[in-house]
Amino acid sequence: MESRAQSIPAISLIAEKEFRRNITTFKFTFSFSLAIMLVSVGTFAMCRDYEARLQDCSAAENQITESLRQADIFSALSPGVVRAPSVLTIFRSGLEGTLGDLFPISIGQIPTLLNAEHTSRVNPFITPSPSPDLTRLVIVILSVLAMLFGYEAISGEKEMGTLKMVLAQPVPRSHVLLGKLLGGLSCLVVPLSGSFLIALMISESQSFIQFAGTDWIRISLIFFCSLLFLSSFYLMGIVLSTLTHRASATLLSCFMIWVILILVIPNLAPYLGARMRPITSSQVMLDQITSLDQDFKQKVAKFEEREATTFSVDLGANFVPGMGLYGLFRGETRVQTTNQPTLDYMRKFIEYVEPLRLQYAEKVHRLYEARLMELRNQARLIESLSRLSPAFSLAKVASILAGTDAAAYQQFSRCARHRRAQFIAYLKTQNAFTSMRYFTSQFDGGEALDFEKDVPAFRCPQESIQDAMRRAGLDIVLLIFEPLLLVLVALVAFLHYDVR
Amino acid sequence: MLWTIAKKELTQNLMEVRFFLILAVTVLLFAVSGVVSLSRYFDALERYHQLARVEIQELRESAMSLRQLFDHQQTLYLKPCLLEFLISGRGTGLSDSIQISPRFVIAETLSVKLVPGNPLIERFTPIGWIFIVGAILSFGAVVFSYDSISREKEEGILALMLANPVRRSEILLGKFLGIYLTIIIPLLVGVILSLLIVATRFRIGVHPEDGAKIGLVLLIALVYLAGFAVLGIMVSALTHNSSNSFVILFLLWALFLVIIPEAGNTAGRLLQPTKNSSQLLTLAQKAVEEVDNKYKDRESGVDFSQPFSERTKIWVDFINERMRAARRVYDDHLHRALAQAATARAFSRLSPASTFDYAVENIAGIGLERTQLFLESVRSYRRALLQFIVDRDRMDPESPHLLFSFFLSKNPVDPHEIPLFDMSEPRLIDSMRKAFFDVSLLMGFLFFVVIAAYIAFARYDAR
Repeated sequence: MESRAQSIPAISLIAEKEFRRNITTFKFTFSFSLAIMLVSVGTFAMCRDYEARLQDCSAAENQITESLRQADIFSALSPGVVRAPSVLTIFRSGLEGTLGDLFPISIGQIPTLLNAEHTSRVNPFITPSPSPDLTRLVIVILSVLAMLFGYEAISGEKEMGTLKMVLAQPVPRSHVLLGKLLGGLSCLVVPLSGSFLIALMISESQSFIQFAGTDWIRISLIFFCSLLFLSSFYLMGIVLSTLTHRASATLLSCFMIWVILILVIPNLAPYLGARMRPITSSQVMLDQITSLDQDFKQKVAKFEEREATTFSVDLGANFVPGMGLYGLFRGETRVQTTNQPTLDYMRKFIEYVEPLRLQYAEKVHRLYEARLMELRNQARLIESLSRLSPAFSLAKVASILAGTDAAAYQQFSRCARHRRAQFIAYLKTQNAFTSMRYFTSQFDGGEALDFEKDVPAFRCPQESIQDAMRRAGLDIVLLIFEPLLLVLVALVAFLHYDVR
Repeated sequence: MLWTIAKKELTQNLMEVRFFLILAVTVLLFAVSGVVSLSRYFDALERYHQLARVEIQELRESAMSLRQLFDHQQTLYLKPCLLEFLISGRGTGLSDSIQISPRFVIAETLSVKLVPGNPLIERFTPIGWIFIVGAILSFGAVVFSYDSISREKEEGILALMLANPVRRSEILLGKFLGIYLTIIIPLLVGVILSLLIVATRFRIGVHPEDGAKIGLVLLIALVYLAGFAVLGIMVSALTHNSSNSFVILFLLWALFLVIIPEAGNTAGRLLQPTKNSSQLLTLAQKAVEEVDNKYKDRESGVDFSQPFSERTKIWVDFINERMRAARRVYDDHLHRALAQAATARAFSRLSPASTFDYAVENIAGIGLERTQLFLESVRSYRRALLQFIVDRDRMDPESPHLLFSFFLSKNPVDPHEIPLFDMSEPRLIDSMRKAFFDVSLLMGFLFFVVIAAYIAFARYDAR
């Protein structure tokens, strides 16, 4: 007997029906409109934020370039580097704003993630909260929609009584399920693409936003991962529908699971992780740094006791001996005087103190590295705990692709350290530590140093997409694996489902 | 009749799976947060005592000479507060230590910690009472009330009920009471469990004022949850389909709990921008330049062999004025940051969840209020310390009496006479006054939804 139902068209028929049914419900239109509204407002806010951050970064960069151009003595050189904000923060803001983006480069300080400053306006009185970027809206709003569709696919139809009729047809249950799956997923694509399109339209319309070629690929990858994420929730809706028999009980369990996955686990994991692998208070490290600084100051003070003579210094000089002001992190040292003994003393002083500063900078850096190791260990534990929720995997993949995760910042700080090495090499080739040009330019006519001519421009390449995907590997696997697993569970459950 | 309806609603709810789920999650979270916050509190308290002791010792050691005392950099710590750990789950608030020194006007803003905890982790909401009541229990209230009207209508029971000589308002009130009592049970069980955990580890017992604060926090929680329960009933009375009502309520809940609070911060940033660090640096430099110009023509310069000369005195004034000028720029920034935070909060108050958060924070004297109090106490302590130094210096006839360490008295000071930092906790009356606005907003929200629910139900077609 020829059975039309055995052929593929049955699946597509069911899929089409499912799609059409979902699109026309009140729930769909309400949630879709809400999602679009929120994406528009959120994207607009993120664009403004990005613009402000761009302005702050370029202001900081200009300040640095200007001061480099005007520097006429070696100690006034301070070639800091600024990390430009990633244009994809609109899609996933990640750690942008949490970690510093201005890395000062100086003799006394080795740039690292932890001592980077913020160019932006950080408010210590506002408790930081996640930004309304697109990924956040997908995680919070669209997942609700996905679960709803999943619930409707089985429970909804059962309540209406049409499920019985569909299953009465000579179509294998697995085909029915697959048809519903396809239909539901196609339905999910509509609000997801709608949100992405709106976000892209709004951001492209801003003059200061330009997406490069790789950016488009990254955005598409985030889109696909979001789809995988939503399909997990859709499938959860189906699985829960087949496991319970009253529609209201299903709906409730769906949203309890949602609360646990989206609200409880992402907030409980850092809490527990901090408990299981605590980090020492930052005050301890700061105190150690302060004591290293004081150590350094004492050595300097001893040197001054031995070598300094009493002399007067005029206004405008920001170097005063014996005042203990000359710490590790001090910058420019300028002396304007024609008094020869003063100049000779200053030369000896610089020759002794600056190499000492390099040494102490290393010691301080070792403290920072130790702390960073501690923080990273705790972060790894928290991430493992968070992986119980697919929301984390999506957020992590999106952060990696957008270049706003911790590793992206670490890469930049490595480049900053390289820059510092270049800077110190430059100073050594110019014999800066034994020259009077270190603290006064009166013998060289007050001309500016040509730092930019002698040292190559700063460059920090962006991570390639392949490397990014490799780093995101585990979470991508989870994002693919979870819906696959749920499909199997759904198949088994649905095959045993009692439709009456 | 009222109590019959209430009792029926209550017993029905208590027998359902959803009740046990909410109860389980709530109790689990209260227990976990109780245990974790308590041990974090004790750790923090021990660390605080250690660090504070070391600081006091070092302060006393610097009493060898007034000059050393003047230069001495001290770190002042905010004493850990149990309620901060328990209720907000945050721990040490937004800042737990500030460095000061009588000589150096280290702008207090700059030492305020930017990201407490691990900066490699993305931001999250700490789990404390505010989260459990504000997010989980409000969700529970929605879960119990979303089908209060529509389900019975669907089952045909509502029409039967209304056929009785019962006023609609009585039915509404009865339903509300039933639902409300259902949601109160997990709250009370959780809170009692939490307090028991605290009581077992506290040998001294809870401070009586803390007990009053906890009681008030509970009252506010009751008002807040009532609001959500009535909101649920209202939406249920406006829709005719249980699952539609759930969708609307759930999205409203997500809007209140997640979207609006997060948007508030963004709104604050956009509406009340503060200056970035480059701009602040430029402003500070300009302010210092102005001072430089003012003193340009004066005869001054420091001569360490001539401490009593007029030149030296002018030089010291010059140095100090420069510092003050730079400090004023950063103080202004601090005020703006506070204004921005206030704007962000004002915007967030669109959500009753944020209002609840701020009301509880104010009553318990934790969070932003406590941070501000800490800052003020630090400032007044520094002034007191400076005054102490100036007074002692005046007693030494050999000192040039200039506010610069090289020119102060070299005499030692009795280490036990040096003033110590002490921050008084906010008084309950003041806390209540500060929380008044947010509590009124919550009651306003409740009032509004009650009226709306009444109107909606009065016009409800039960057929």
